[in-house]
Amino acid sequence: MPPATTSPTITVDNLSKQFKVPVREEGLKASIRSLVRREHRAVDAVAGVSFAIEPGEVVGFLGPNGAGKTTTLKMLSGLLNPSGGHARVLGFEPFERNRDFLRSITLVMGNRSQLEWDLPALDSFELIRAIYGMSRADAEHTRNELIELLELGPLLDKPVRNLSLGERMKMEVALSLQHRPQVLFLDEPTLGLDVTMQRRIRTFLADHNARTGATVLLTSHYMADVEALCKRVIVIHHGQLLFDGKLSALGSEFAAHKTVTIEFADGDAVRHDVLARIASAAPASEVVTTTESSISVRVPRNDVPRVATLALDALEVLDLSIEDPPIEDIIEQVFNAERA
Amino acid sequence: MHPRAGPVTTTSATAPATTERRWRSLVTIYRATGRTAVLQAIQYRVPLFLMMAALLTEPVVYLVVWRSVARESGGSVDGFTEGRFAAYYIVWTFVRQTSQFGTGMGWEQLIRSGDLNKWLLRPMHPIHDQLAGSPAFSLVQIFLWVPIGVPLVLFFRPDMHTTPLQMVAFPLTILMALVIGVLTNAIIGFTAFWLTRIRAIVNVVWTMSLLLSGRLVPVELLPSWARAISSVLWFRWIMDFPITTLIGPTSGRDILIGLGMQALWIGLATLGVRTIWRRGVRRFGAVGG
Repeated sequence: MPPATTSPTITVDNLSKQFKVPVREEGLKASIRSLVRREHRAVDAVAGVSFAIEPGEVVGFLGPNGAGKTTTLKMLSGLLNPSGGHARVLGFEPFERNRDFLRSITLVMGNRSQLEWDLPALDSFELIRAIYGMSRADAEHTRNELIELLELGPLLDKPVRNLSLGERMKMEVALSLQHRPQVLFLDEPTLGLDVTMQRRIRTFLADHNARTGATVLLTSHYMADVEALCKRVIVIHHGQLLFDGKLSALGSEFAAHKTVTIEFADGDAVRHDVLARIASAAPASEVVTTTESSISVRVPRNDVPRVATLALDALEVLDLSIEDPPIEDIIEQVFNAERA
Repeated sequence: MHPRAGPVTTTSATAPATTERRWRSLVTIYRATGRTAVLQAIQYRVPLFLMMAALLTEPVVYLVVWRSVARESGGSVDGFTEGRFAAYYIVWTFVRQTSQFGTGMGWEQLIRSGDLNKWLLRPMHPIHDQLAGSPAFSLVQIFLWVPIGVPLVLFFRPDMHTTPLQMVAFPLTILMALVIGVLTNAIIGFTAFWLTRIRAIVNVVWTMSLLLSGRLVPVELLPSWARAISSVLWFRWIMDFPITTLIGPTSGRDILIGLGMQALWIGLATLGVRTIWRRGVRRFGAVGG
């Protein structure tokens, strides 16, 4: 069950992080000059982001590489000191790194490990149990549950270095949850995994959220992760918030086109006529596919009602569907529009 | 609960820490971390043994050179006989293997690569991992030292003046030397928060340690000015003091003064670790991931 609380689990207010990056031109001369006079450039990794996440919510945190997602997660988990703004997680200021705060969160990064490389994973579980001050019985109970759900039993006595990437990732997820954190920051938790393993981790995380009511903030480049787990998404780009709302609303906000698919009984002769009419009614539309008895057209959002009406008037329609483009395409459009 | 914490009910498996609970949990952490360090050391016991054998080259060279010098000088150098040199450098191997780990480069690697993230996420200061792991690693080293140390004793015939008091004080001096080493290495390592690469600093400190700690030359044989520097800084107390405590002759008063100096350096280094860590971690870029 979600924790009984009167305030959001995560509150981010105008949060920003600026890095000072050394810069120099290429070549020996510039290199020697930089010995005497070093130049720096300020880079805004996160520039005034604000949002709030309620207890038990699973939120997708989206953005292209370098958008500021991981930097934000690092600030929220206490790894990075913000340059400006405020963040509160479970009522704590993350960067103060209060021990009770650290006991209540976890950060899983796809390419970083809490596991002891040379030892069997069970030894890491035991070490983490001691570090988080859990009783043996409590830890064993949670661990056994996680091991069963993620089917880790046969892997526990193998040294971590001998596990495959997928096995290691599952183990990492289990280890990160042993102390039963209330807040999960997941940074690319399915990075590099095959489709089956991705699906298994997704199912597990959805189930874990339903059972424990943990709050989850997830970044992933796999839209399947986001679609399976998150009702709400936050999109950032160049360190700034572009969208915060329901995943289903992302299409209406950003998708410039919809795909209209018409199945009809009239046959091939009518098809050319209908295509010509659509082209004249919505000149910016594009044909995606056609068969003898169906047409699929990518139509500008504003022209969709006109095209649908035209099809219904001109054809004996068997089926008509209007779909937002796949979420990947929408996200790509968002980022491309921003770049343009 | 932290005074600035909001009105959130916790459901995690770990309860807020009181002072007593914190100490108890620290003991549990030390036990678990120590156990992990032992397991890791045992995992690679053959390379560890070979490394230890290779490290013997250094003291054996010093010992052979100094014994020759003593012989050429009519049997002793400033009171150091061949047998005393043998005692000094054989105990040297033990002290080196059980209390001198790392150089600060480990911290540089953690900070530069961003691997420190892993430690920052845990509800404990990462220095505890070193403070708990190093003594445990020492225990493994003692077992590995025996097959190397015993032949040295039989071959070089050390001259030792060890009393029960010295026997009791010796492990304590080793433990304190180890703690000073861990803390001073951490201070040097934390400079990577500002400098990123710290090899030059590590080399300077290593050279100073080589000359002033009793590693190259027993501190007793150093010129008086160098002896003074060695005694004021921490170098003497991490190498020469534990060695001379065991081989003697030494008085109870000297042992007490030495332990006092070790305690002082632990205090100063702890203060340094706390201050530099607090400032350094604010600058940490948490790169990677």
